[in-house]
Amino acid sequence: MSPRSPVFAAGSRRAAVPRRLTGTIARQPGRWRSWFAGATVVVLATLIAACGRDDTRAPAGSTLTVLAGSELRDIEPMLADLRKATGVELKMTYAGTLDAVEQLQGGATFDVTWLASGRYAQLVPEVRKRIVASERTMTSPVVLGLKASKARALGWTDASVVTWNDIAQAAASDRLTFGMTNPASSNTGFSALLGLASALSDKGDALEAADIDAKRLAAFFRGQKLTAGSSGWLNDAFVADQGRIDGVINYASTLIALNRGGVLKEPLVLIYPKEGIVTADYPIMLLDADKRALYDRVLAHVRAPAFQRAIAVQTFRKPINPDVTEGRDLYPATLVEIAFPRSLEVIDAILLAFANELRLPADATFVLDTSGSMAGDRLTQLRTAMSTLVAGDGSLTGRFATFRGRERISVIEFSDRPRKARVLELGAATERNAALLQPLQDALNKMSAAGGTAIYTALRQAYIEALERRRGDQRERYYSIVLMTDGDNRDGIGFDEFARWYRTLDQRSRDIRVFAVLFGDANQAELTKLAELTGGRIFDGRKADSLARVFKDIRSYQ
Amino acid sequence: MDTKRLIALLLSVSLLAGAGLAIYYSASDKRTADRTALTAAQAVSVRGLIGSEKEAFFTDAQVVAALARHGVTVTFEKVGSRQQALREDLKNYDFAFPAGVPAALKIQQISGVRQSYTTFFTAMAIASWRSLLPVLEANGLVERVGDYHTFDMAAYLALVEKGVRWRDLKNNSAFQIARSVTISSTDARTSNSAAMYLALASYSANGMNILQNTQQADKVAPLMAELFLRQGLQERSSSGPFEDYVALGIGKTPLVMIYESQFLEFMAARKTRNPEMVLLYPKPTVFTKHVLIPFTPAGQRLGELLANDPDLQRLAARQGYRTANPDLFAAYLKDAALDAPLNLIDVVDPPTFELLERLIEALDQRMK
Repeated sequence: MSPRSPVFAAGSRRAAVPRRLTGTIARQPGRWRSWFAGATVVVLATLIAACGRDDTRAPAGSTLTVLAGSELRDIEPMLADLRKATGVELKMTYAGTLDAVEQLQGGATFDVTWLASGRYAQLVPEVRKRIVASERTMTSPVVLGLKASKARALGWTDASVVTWNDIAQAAASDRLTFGMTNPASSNTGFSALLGLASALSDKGDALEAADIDAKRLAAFFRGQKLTAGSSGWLNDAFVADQGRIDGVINYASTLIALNRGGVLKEPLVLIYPKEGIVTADYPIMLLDADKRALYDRVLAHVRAPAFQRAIAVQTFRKPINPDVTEGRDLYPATLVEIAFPRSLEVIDAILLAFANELRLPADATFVLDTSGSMAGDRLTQLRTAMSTLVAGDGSLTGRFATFRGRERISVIEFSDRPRKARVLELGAATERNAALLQPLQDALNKMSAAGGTAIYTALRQAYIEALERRRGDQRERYYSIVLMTDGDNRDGIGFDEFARWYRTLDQRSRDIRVFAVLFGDANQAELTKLAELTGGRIFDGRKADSLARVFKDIRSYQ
Repeated sequence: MDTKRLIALLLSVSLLAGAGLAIYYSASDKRTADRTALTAAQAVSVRGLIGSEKEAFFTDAQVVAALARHGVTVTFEKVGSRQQALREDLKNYDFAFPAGVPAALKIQQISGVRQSYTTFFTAMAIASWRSLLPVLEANGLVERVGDYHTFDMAAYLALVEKGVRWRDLKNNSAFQIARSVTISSTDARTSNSAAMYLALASYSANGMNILQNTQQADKVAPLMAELFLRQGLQERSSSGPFEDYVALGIGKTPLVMIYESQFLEFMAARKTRNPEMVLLYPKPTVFTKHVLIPFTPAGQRLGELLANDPDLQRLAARQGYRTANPDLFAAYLKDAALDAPLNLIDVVDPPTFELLERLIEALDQRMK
């Protein structure tokens, strides 16, 4: 979290336009002074009205700390201009929407937030209390981008008439595969789930927990071949895997950028399901009332035509400013918007239903390093991280990161060689699962560290066992492997030999991704290559006390 | 950067010169000159809370200039009208300027300030879309009366009671969606425009009578709650739904409860207007008065000016507000080439503060 510097705070207060005019000048009698004050206000108003700029008034060093949605990295190139025009530097920290709300709930101090949606923040009482002001900046609906050939094959030549019901049917009958983020961590996943759940329940108004049609929703998720914690990674993974996956659910702006980015073998047709969608509206929300003047200044700039034009042209989001013509036709004119649930309970119910009943059940393997170097604090951290997944940690994201109903978990500890895997099959009944998980918790408590490090022998064994399980599976599952290690490979086969073996696998077997957690003195270069090889990604658990958090994040990829 | 500084400087100079000229010319009238001298001597900067719908008024260059001529500069924070009363730091401001008498009364109650200034007012209205007019007319919701359209609140409440969806409406080829026919609004707990919506809907639900007692209020409360519950999560201030209307269009807000002034001001400010946007007048409607509560002498001075200064009254009319003098509004409509009824006949009073609060309280219970 960005600490608030008292120096900046004082500087920003001096920079405040209104305060400067309040007090000093105005309370002194004298015709010329007051005329001057009046004239300055008019000049200011004129300049602000004209283009939102007034660079004559901002001393250097005015800063706003911003907790921003991860997809807003594409705004970054425009921030230099913003700083020049307003004198305010935005210090961006990126996070997923739900993660951001949890950080705020936990008391994280930021001056403002700039997230895809303010709705989650509004629904959490502790966070709602902190919102001083909120203004929207631009919009982008969450839609399905489908490969053109697939759209043709499905007979969806007129994309404007396609419904969520059509999409669900196609996925349920194995005619459509897609990637989508985890609704418990990312706004795009949740928006899609909400749209789909509303449409399938044929509920016209805000969804209630009782409306969820679990059976048909679950059938839809048969088609999910890719999940992720953030829409950015989802996009990259889709590009890498476009031969195998038919479509991807994301912001329309992101998909338009993809279509124009020259990385796709065939263009995506954007499908805005007819029953209704959820549109992100990117409010900037003020949390620190003392930063009001800077906030007003930044907003005036962001909502002024120049910045709004840049948003439309560079990021393909639709300007909120009705007088900007650029971007007006980015999306269809009539998009039916889904009513957003009014209470956190409904959101919780949807997310829990998703995790325990709707999504493809996961087969999640954890390959954990318990070599000698893990002794002491490292082992304690690992135990805490794994226990968080067993029992949660009392937080919002912790709750959705726990092992879920119907999930299969395999834990393989390794040092100079892999130990026997501990495999758990969780059922649909959540109460029974607690008892089923107890032996795993006991084993974690007893875990000890000794011996060498045979990373790739252990990983190969994990693969072989996962593939065996898959062959025996009656129903579809989502397979993935997490590898956590704190050092170099010293025993068994090396990376190159593992890679050679991996390449001998058939196409389908190679779709199990490895998510590698860097810990202690892990070999970053090699693990990066491993993630690239398997289509996974690396997570950095080396920062102090970050391992549990990283394990929670990874759950969105399983 | 230097050029911009230069432009800013030139603008300041030219404005100062303009101001100088103004003083020079007005000096020919001694009384004006005396008054100018007096007000200039008492120049004040005034800081207050305003309902978000008045942002356009206070940032309007002419309003800023008019206030400056009286030595007054205003800075403000936008706070939902019904939320202003909840601010514990009210006394750090010079004034609060909510929309709606109920919100103003609450602020007066809490702050112990008895003084208030009624400045200008506007009617509650419903923004909608021209392509929906045929279906709304066919279903008895909308009627064309002369140059404008009325919206039948009683007919609407009957649809709400039955949970009729857009796609169920007869002769509807324009808007076949599953959502129920619902007017979007702000949250009645925080915003005045939604409280006024409640006021006018409760009149129709109560058999075309202003609520008189708690029994009547309790009887209509469940249906009133339905108007809001169906909307799902709501925006907190009145610029929200109107922004939805403008930015997201018909798919998000086929019907939205707003202030007439918001719509008129939006249209008047634009050379090219969207011919699809139409304003409907609920039958009956209520007026929302904009009431300024002063906390300091500086706040009093602003209230005095807004309520009584002919120039500022004229400028308020130019922002789409109605004032004590109807000629100002008529002149504005003519200049801006806008159509709006000069005299709204079917206007009712909101129920008492206590009864309205009771309805909102009941709504709050249902929303928990």
